[in-house]
Amino acid sequence: MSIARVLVDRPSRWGLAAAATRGAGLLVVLLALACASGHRYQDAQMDFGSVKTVAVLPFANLSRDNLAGERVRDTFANALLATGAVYVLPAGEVARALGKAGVANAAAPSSEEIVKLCQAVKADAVITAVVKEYGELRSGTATGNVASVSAQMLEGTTGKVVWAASTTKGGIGLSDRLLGGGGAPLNDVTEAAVDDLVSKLLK
Amino acid sequence: MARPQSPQPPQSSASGALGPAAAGSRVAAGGAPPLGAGPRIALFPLENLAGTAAPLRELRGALEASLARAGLRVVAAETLDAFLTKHRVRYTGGVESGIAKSAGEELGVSAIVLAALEGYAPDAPRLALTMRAVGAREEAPILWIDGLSRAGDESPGFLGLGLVRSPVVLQEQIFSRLSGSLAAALAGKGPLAGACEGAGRFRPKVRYRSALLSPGRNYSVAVVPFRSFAKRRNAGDLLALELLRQQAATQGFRVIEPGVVREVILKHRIVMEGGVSLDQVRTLVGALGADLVIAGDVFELDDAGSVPVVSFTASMLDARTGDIVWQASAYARGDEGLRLFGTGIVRTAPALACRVLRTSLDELFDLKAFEPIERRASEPAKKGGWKPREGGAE
Repeated sequence: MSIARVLVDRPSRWGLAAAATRGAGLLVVLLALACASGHRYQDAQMDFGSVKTVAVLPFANLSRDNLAGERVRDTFANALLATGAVYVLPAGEVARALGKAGVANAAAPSSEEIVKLCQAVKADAVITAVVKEYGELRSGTATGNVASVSAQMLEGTTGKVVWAASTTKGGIGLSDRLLGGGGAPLNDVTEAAVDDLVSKLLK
Repeated sequence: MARPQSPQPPQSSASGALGPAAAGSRVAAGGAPPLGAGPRIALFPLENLAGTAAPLRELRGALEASLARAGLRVVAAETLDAFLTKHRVRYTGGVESGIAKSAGEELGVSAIVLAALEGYAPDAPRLALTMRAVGAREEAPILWIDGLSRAGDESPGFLGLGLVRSPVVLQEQIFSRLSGSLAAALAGKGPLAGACEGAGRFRPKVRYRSALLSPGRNYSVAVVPFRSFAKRRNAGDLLALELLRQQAATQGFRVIEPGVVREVILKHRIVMEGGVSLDQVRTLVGALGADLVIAGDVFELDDAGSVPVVSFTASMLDARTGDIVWQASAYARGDEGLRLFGTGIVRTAPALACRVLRTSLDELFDLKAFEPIERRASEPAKKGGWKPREGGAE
């Protein structure tokens, strides 16, 4: 298509409609990008189908809520189990194995410790995570609840990171600013964050 | 809800190895209640799970009187205290098998009644009580379990005519209702376990059920104390007790007396610091003969605010394989999904926990309720991605 042709065609009704459609499409893409939260990495060489049993380690907690790590871990482990894609080991069994393997920092084990741990509990992989933010968020007079979590899966035979993702859910929306109300309940926000992580893991 | 097991006929009330003085009922306060003609029972001192100070001695006296009015013959408090002292019983939240047997032989009772105070507030009256009767023999079977939790302002009705302002009135309502339920159950006329009302609005948000759990089987279940992260004292024990009650009211489950479970835990020095491990499950199974072990974590159990809040995760482990066969993470508020004019609000934390657990257990064998998460996700899984495990979630 020549430049002249384009110039001639531009004023036509069909040309305007096409431009509007393209513009709307671009807007949708930009909005989708703006709404997307967190990053995701997945090892292309990893056969995720071979992962049948997973140990979810205690989550590191960087938030002000002392229980955030345990709360999010419990919900995450249950949500992952509920997918039926993998079996998640009971938390007590993981705690026993961590003690037995002598893991110094359960939230951030070394590769050797992961291999040892996976051998002890017969797991194919372990999942570690960090709760970066959890609880009430304030901005002026508006409040809302937020949960921000990043997680990674480490392969049991090598201790290598094969998947990593992060998510942030909740926060203060436009309606919270205009109408107040305090945002969604923290447990709903937690569930949304966990669902997002699980969806990213199973993609 | 169907009854969990066939009613066990109450043993004929023993006339008494203790003589006529002990055969009659007595109360600590309020005079001697009329003598009943029903089974002879021993009412252990109340266990306080209310998270606050409560007049346990007075409540026990009133409960004893209420039981006697329901036609049960209650062992005198002094006689029972002497028995507890003799056997060095300090924990009255459960009954060990040896104590149950001794009570049957020495006190001549057919059942031991245990009462746990789960909530108590005299000012804006609120009272929650769970009771259970344990057979006075070595197996220590749970013969009956029921509970009631009420707040004075939970049913204000038209112009507030339904408000209960007196804690004594509330206490009497609860005690007489539970005493009647116990008397009926021991006479083989009432249900063996009182189930509370479940509701879809209290359904756990995240739940899992394994195909290993078969609806056609009968399971014996051991409930171990929950780990508590809640501010409220004894929140783990309270939730475990509520779960025990609802489990007992579920078809296909026989619940093992928590006192017997505790005995095994102490004997084998089991410490469940990070949750129950598979070794511990095997130990419990070997000693108790249980098919399933239930454990969990409590994060919130609070009714100090305007509405109660409950947040917990419960897991059921298969004793044979060590696999998780059921798991539920729940969070609920008393004002969740309210109907017109705020009717249906739940005012106490034990009542809320009870409803959430009932809803969870009602769905236990409802396979449609357990839909894997990825089916709910907006995008289908990519080709070559993970698939649900065979024999996994349904």
